[in-house]
Amino acid sequence: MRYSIFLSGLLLLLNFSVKAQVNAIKYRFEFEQTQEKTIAGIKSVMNSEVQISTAYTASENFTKIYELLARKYEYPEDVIIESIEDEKIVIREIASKLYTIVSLGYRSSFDMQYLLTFEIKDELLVLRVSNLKQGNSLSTSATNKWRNTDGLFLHKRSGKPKKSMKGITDVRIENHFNAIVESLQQM
Amino acid sequence: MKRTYVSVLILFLSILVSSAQSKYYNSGDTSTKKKHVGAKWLKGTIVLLDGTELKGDVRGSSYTGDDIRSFRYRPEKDVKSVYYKAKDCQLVIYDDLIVVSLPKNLKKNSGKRKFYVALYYGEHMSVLQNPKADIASGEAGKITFNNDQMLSYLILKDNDISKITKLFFKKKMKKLLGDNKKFIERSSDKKWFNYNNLYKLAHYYNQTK
Repeated sequence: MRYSIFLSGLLLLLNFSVKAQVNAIKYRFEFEQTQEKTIAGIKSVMNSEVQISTAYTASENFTKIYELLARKYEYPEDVIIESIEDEKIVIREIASKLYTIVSLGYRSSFDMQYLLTFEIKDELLVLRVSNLKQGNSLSTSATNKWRNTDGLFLHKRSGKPKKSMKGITDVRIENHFNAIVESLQQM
Repeated sequence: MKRTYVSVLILFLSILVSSAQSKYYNSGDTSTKKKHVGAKWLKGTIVLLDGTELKGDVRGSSYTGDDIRSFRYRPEKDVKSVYYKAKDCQLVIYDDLIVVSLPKNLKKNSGKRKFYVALYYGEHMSVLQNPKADIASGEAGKITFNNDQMLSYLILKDNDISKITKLFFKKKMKKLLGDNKKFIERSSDKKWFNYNNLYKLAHYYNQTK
């Protein structure tokens, strides 16, 4: 009796841990509302990484990512900040006018700077976004050039969505990063 | 036997120290305007001489003119802060600013250490703010381009510091960084090879070296 209770408990635990793992793995970037409330509203954050299955070895994946960067940039070295062969590539990119707010019919856009880490494995890529900042890449001011943006305040404190941002700012950012995911899936 | 132990220990420590430093390579701030370390508590890291990383709140503590002399560090708010001078650290991250501590005699790694704010911090070469640099300033009623821009920088390469000025920038850069063929090839691109692009030039040199 005790043995069967122990066994069923163990199976239940195993089931939970498998479910938790499945839930943790993301295949697309998307914003999710958090519990964090500030004067600016309720914070939403984007998942920081996604997994992409490929049909290639780590070495082939590395070459293909490098080729992808070479197609996008004349000098990929300008954006690469770390590169370990067959293991990972880290780039710093600036996406112009990615952070967009529409208020009273007027559209204000800011550039976004971020780090993209391609973690390379056999038949698998992990794409990680970090150090998201918004600002103006043409600004020459030494201070306040880039502001850390670890989340978006898409909802008011009451829980109502902000018309100026919800469905605009978040969707634009999600689409930008998901387009990178798609280009990696198609390479 | 004892000597072997000591040399192994020194080798181990130097590997530890260099790995702590390498984490911060290829970063800095693209603007060529003068950057200051403020006295406001901001998120930062202090890398001590032995490679230990202290993460928490950092702020400038004492200054000589505009130049930073010491930092204050606290692991979190309401915890007593500690002083750190250049002789105690390898580098300090204050917000996004990298401040490197270097000895007076770089070749022998000896002498009084001093803090330098980095425009770019790299593995093969770094661009440091020149504490004595002239700064472009406009006069009332006149239009000036690149106001507040620093007119000279220090290049740290092969344990040596060389000064580059905006005036003879291209000639000096080619001489200093001539050991990188790819860099010299790209220097014919006039749009890319200019003083305002110093951060990107340093990054390309480090990436292709």
